[in-house]
Amino acid sequence: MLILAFLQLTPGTFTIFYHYALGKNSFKKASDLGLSFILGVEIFTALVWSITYILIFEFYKNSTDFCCSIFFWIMFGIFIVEALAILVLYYRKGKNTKLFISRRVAGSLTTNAAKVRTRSDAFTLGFFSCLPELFFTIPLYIITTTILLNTSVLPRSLFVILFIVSSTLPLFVILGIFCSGRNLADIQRFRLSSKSFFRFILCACYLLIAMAILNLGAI
Amino acid sequence: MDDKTIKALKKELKIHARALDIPSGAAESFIDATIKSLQISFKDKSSVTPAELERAVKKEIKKYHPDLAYVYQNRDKII
Repeated sequence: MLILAFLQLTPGTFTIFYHYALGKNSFKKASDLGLSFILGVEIFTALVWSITYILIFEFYKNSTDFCCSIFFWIMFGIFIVEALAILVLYYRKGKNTKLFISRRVAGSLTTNAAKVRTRSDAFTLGFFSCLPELFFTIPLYIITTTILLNTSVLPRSLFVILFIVSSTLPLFVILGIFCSGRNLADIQRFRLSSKSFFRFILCACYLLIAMAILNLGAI
Repeated sequence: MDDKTIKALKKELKIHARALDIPSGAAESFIDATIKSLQISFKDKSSVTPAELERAVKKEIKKYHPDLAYVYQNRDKII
């Protein structure tokens, strides 16, 4: 669940967005816009989680044991591929934190982050900044919903809340760092120095989940 | 360097300076000094590429505020 906190696209977009918001607005307005961005990310996470839950629920209702075992093997394969993809493709080469997304999308996100003026702009940016990373997040949504299918309503609801909070945890941390007087330069230097660490952690987490799926499938 | 480029550059540097919490008076003066120095160094050139401009701005701004130079240089390399 905490893997979502290590993914870099939304925190990166938020860092650029908040830097420009501080440069163009008062501190109060910038914080206001920052919270709207975070709300956008939370709504996106909740929406994708709900859609995934419905689809997985329907799948399990209409499938046989054999289908479920195939499903687990497919998920195992996806997580292995993604672990390798993180190792090789997640960051681009060079002394920067450029990610795997196309340069056009990255440019568009950066431009829009610099242009945000209203709360709705910030909300929309937060909502859409999660979209290009779906390749890495969708399997996480699928596996968590699968695990939660057989649980009762209360633990499931608590888990969903935790899931949403964990996806926005780095954004609150970045907001706190900005509020403590640090700036984009400090954050970017930190991101650059911990690039390999994030890559290693993400790869290890995806591999661990793949192993857990293998165990679940065997059961 | 045409007026439009200078105006856009000045505006962008001011936004970065404000976000980095640099006092506006100090920021204004070193941004003006940077632009003056750029105009002198590009005086004989008919056209300046964005990469050339970025390199020159970074080099000049670094003399006054290294963090601002770093942010300017990395603004499109974050994601």
